[in-house]
Amino acid sequence: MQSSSAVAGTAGAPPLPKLAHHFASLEVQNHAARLGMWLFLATEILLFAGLFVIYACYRFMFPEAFAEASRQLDLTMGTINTLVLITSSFTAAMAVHYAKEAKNKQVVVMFVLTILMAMGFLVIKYFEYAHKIHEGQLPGPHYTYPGIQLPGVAMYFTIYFLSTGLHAFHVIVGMIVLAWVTLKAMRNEFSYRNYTAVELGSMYWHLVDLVWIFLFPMLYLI
Amino acid sequence: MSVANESFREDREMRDEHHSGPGKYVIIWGALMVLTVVTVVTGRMHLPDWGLALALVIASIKGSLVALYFMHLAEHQGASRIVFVTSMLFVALMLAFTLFDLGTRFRPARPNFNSANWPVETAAGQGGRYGGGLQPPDTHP
Repeated sequence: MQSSSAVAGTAGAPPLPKLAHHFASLEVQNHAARLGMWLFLATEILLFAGLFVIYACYRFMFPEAFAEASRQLDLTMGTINTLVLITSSFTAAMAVHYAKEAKNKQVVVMFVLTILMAMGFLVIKYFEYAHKIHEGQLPGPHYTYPGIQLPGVAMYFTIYFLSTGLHAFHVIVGMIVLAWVTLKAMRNEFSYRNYTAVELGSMYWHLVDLVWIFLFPMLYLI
Repeated sequence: MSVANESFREDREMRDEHHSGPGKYVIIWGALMVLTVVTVVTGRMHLPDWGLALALVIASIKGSLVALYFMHLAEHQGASRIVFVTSMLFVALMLAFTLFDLGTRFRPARPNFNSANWPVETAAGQGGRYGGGLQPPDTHP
């Protein structure tokens, strides 16, 4: 992610990341790391865009089935999950703010809150999945729900499980990344000169939020 | 040495950047919460014509707020913005051209084609006359 292999600084002072010789300053190096992260996030956006395009095509072909099937989703749980994820994004943004001010304790608090909300998101998602599996609202040939028997309805649940599953995978990866940055914050590594790990980890988390902001209306509302 | 000079210039420019504080984050968080409630309320009305468009507009506003302020695109100049805008452009292209294809296809060539409802407006006695799947020559396909 970045070259933050912190060199052992003088005792007491926060360690500085190693500066590669082709960068004029740490700021420029951080800028390059951020650009690299944006390039990675662009590929992530396009990965999810593939699923959005599949959704658009099948919704275009089976509008009635998609409208009926989307009403089978639990809107209350979906809304709570959206609010949880947005709030977790807020705490991740606050962590960057505190990292710039070298308040490592607050960084830890903010990221722990973020990770707890991520767990809450996954627990709610688990209950939603369990209900879907119990009802037989499953992808493709495994669809056995007798309530809706329209052409294309199994496709809706294929897309539902694919996109929310890929998103949930990103939530788990994000939790691991944030836990790793939290460990670094526990060692008081971050300051105004060195907060790239916090910023990039939090950017990844915002991407997870960004994707959900589009998945939520797509799957639950329309 | 031009690379190094570029690098020094960027260094100078970046010192002038402003950083958003917690106040701004709280405002953005509040706006995102409100917009979520708005999209749920309007979504539950199942507006027939522009419900989809409204939901997508609200989602785009929320996404822009996250990208601009939480992900700091608003305060970071240059290349990151180009990367983000380019990825959005290609998402739009992929979506639009796939839908153009699907929307303009000859209907039997679509995956949801149901031969029971085809041909649609063939006069009685003409079923199968123009190759079964075709309409009479005087009607537009």
